[in-house]
Amino acid sequence: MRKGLIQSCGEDLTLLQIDSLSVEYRTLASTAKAVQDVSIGLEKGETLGLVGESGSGKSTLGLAVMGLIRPPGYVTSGRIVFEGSDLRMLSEGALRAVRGRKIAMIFQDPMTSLNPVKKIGDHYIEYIRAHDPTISEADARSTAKHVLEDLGIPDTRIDDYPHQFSGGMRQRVMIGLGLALNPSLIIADEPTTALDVIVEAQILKLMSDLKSKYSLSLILITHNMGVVAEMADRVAVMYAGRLAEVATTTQIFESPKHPYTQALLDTIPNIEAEDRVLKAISGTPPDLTDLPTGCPFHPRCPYAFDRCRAEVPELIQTGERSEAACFLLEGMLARPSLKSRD
Amino acid sequence: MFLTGGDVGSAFIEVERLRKYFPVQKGLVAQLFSRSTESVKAVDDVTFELEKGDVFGLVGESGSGKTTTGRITAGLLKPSMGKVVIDGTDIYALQSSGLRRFRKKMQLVYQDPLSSLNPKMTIGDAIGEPLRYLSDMKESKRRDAVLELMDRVGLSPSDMFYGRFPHQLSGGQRQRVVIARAISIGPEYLVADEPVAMVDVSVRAQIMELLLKMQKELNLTLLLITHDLAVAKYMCNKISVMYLGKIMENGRTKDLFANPQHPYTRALLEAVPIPDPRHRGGKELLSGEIPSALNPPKGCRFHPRCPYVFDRCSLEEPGLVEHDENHAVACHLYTEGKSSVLLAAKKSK
Amino acid sequence: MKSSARQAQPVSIMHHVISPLFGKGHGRALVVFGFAIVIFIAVMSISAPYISPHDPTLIGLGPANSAPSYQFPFGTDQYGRDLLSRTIWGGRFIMQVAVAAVAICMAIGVPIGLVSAYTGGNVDRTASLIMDSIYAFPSLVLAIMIISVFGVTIVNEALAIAVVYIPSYFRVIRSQVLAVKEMAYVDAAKSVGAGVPSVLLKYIWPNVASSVVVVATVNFADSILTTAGLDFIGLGLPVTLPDWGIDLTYGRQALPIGAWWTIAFSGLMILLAALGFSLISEGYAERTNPKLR
Repeated sequence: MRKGLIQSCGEDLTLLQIDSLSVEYRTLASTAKAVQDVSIGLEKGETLGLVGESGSGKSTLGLAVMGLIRPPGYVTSGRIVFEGSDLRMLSEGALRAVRGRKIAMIFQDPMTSLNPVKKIGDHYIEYIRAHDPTISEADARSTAKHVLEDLGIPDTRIDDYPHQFSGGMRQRVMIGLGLALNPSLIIADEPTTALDVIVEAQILKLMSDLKSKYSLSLILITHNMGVVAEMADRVAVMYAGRLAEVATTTQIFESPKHPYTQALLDTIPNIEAEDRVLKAISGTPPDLTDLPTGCPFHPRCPYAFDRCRAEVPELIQTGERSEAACFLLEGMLARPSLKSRD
Repeated sequence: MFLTGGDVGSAFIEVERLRKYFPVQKGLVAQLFSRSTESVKAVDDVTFELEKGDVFGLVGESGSGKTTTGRITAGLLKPSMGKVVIDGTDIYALQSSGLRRFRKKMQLVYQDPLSSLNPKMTIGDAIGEPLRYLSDMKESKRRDAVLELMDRVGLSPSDMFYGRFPHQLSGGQRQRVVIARAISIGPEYLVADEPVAMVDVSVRAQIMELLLKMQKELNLTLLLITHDLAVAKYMCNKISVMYLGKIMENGRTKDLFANPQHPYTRALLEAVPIPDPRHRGGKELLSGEIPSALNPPKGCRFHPRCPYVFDRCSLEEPGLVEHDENHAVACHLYTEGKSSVLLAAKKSK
Repeated sequence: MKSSARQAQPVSIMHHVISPLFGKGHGRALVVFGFAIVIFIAVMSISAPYISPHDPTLIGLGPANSAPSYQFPFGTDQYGRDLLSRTIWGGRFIMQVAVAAVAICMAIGVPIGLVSAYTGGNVDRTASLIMDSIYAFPSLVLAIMIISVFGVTIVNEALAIAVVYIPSYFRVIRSQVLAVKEMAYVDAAKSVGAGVPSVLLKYIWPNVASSVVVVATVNFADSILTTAGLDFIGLGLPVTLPDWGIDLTYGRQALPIGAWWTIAFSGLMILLAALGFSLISEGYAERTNPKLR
C-alpha cells in the first residue's frame, strides 16, 4: 500500500530540512567538494530516495545529517534542521542523544558493522543501555526480543554470534538495531547492495512493513533505480555533489526534467521493457577535486550550451515540491525554487 | 540441442557433467577422528553447450557456482569431474604445454577492474602482456598493436593513456583496459565475470555495448556471468539459471523471460526491483535464504524454499529435461505433468 | 580526466622512488628531514680526509681533556687528540657497516621471502621455521660470537648484524607476498601465460617493494647502534682509530672530571645517524598509509 503524498508544505509536517549544506574533504594534495549547496526537505512519513553514482555525494550527505563527518571531512556551511533544531549547532553530547534515538543509520555491509565476538542480543542490550543506563538488562533483553520478532528472526537466536547468521539475517539485525530506540528517521545507505536479489526483495519488503508499522520516515541512499522505484515517495538525484533534480517518484520516471536524470533512465536495462536499446552516457563521472566550471554535468550533457560551462544552475521549481537544476528549464517555468523560510 | 549434451560434436563449446568440489580444511583433531571429507559442492553435474557467436548468460545468486563454472570453462580451474570440450578439444586432457597454447583461444574479463590490473604496471604494458607471452609478435610491433587496441575499445587518445597507471583511470576506463587485454591475442572465447557490477551505473551501458561490439566484430563466443537479470536479458541470447551448483533452467532469453518454467526462475524475476514505479508491490517473495553448499538439500536443491514442493522433490533430484523447444528445466512439476499449477498461479496475478 | 601532468617516459623512477618519498602529502617533512641528516652524515664521512682539520689519530695535538676552544672546537680527548677531527672521521666505519649489513640482508632476505611465500607449502613452512629460529636469537650475543671468533672487519660486523636481521625482511616480504599473490592481477598474469619468474619480477615484487623500505631504514638505525654497542664492549675497531662508538666508550673515563665534550659529540652523532634513518622510516610509513578517502 502506497502512502499518499502530503500536499501542503506546512512547517509542522517537515521532519528534516537541509539548507545549503556543503561538505569538503581536505587532504594535503587536494580538496574534494563532496557536497555543494544542497537544500532539501523531508516530511514525516515520507521515503526519500537519494540517488546518485559514486562521487555524487549521497553517502556524504547521509553521514552529514548524522553528524558523522570527521576530518579530513568538514561541513563547511549550511544547516540541518531536525524537529526544529539545527543539528550543526548541537554539542557532541547532544548529538549523541539524537543519534540512535531520533535518527538511526543503516549501512551497506552488515559483515563489518557487527562485532564478531559479541552475541546478537548483546549488541542490542549494550546499544539500548548506552543510550539510557537506567534501563535494566532484563528490560533491554526483552526489547531486543521484540525487535527480533519484528524482523522475522526467532528470538531463540538472541544468543547467537554474527557468523552464525547469513548475510540477509545480519542485515535484518542491523535494521533492528536501527529501530531499537524508536527513532523517527532512518537513513539507510545502500542497505541491499551487498545482498542477493531475492534477499534484497525480502529486506525491502521488511523495511516497507516496518516503516508503516512504526510510522517512520526514511532516507534511502542508493544507486539502484529499481529500488528507488519500489520504495520511494520522492526522489532526489545527485550529481557531483549537487542536486540535479528532485521530484515525486512517478514524475522522475515518467517525466524527468534534468538531462542527467533522463540519460540515467535511458541507460538502465529493464527486464520489463521490450527490446530497448540502451543509450550510454558518454564520458565519466567527474573528479571531485577537479570539477568543471559551471554545471558539473555539462561535459556529458547532449544539450550543453555556453551558459552551462560558465554558471552553475540553481534549482528551479518545476512543480509542487519538485525542482531541477538546469538552464534549459529557465524561461519555461516561473521562479527559482523556494528554500525554507527561517 | 544445447541442453542435454546429446548431439556431440556440433557445438563450439561443450560443457559436460562438470563438477567441482572444494574440500574443506579441517582442524587436526577433526582430520584424525572424522571419516568423511566434507567438501563444498560448488558445481555439481552441470551440462550445457555454446554455439559459436553465442552470448550465453550464466545467471545466479551467490553460491550458485556460476563463477566457478565460468572459470573452469576458460581453462583456469581444473574440474573435479567432467569435461570441457572447445572446438573438439578436451582442454583438461591436454598436457600443460598444450593447454598453454590453447589459452590463446580463451580469455577472462574480470569483475573488479581495479584488482585485476597490476597497480605498478602501465596500462600500455598491461594490455601488451598477453601478446608478450602468448604470441610471437616482436616488441617493436607490440606497441602499435596495443595502441590500436586501445583506440578500438575507446581509450583515446591512446598514446596519452599508454603510460598511465590504473589508479589514474576511472572504473569504466579500467574495464576497457581489461577488455582490451582480453581481446589482444584474438581469442575465440571470452568469459566475462560480472563485467559491469563494479562500474558506475551511467557507464555500464558503455561497457555492455563495447562487449557486444567486440563480440560482433571478432565473432567471439561470450559467456556472461552475472547476478543481474536485466544485464543478462540485454546482452544474452541464451541463459542458464543456476542454483547451488546446479542448472535449474536453460533457454533462449526470449523464452526464459516470457515463460519462466522453474519456480526459482520465477521467484528471481519476481524479486528484481524494476525501475518503474507502476510495477510496485504485491510481490510474492520466497522465504529463507540460500542454504550452504557444504550440505545441500537432498533431492531437488531448491525444494525447501519452493512454493510448489511435493513428495518427490525431497527424495529425487530432477534432471534437466527439455519440454519446449530449446527450453529445458529441472523440475518434477514438469516430469509429472503438474506444471499447470504454475500457470494457475500466473493467471491469478 | 586528469590533465596530462605526468609524462609517460620517466614515469618509472618518478613513480616508484621520488614520488613515494618526496611527493606532497603526510610525513613529507619527516622524510625530507631524515634524508637531510643522512646525506649530511654521508657527505661528511666521505669527505673526511678533505675537511678534517687535523689527523684524528695524532696523540698530543693539544692538552688532554681540554674543553672546546677556538683551536679545538670540540675539545680534546684523554690523549690530546682533536675531537672535531675524530667526530668527522668517526662515522666512516659505522656507516660502512650499516650499508653492508643492509645490503647483505636485502640480498638474502628478500629473495628467500619472495620465493618462499610464493611457492607456499612445505618450502614456505620450512623457511619460516628457520627464519623464526634465527629471529629469536639476540642480535648482540650473535654479533659477539662472530666477532670474537673471526675478528673485527667491516664485513664481519656487517655479517653479524645482517644474519639476525634477515628474518625481519623475510617476514615482512612474506606477509606482503601472501596478500598480493591472491590478487586478481596475479591470476590474470598467469592466465595470459606469464611464467613464474615474470610473475615474481613484474607482478609481485613491484607491489611489495615498498614494505622493504621501512625495514631497511630501521635496519640501518639498528646496525648503527649495534656497531656502537660492540665498540662499547671492546669488540670494535682498534682503540686508536676514530670511531664514534670508541669515543663514546673511552670518553666516559673523562666524565668524573667534568669533561662532557668527550662523549657528547660522538654520542650526538650516533643519535643523529640513527634518528635520520628512523625519520625516513617513520615518514615513509606514514605516507604509505592510505589516509585519503
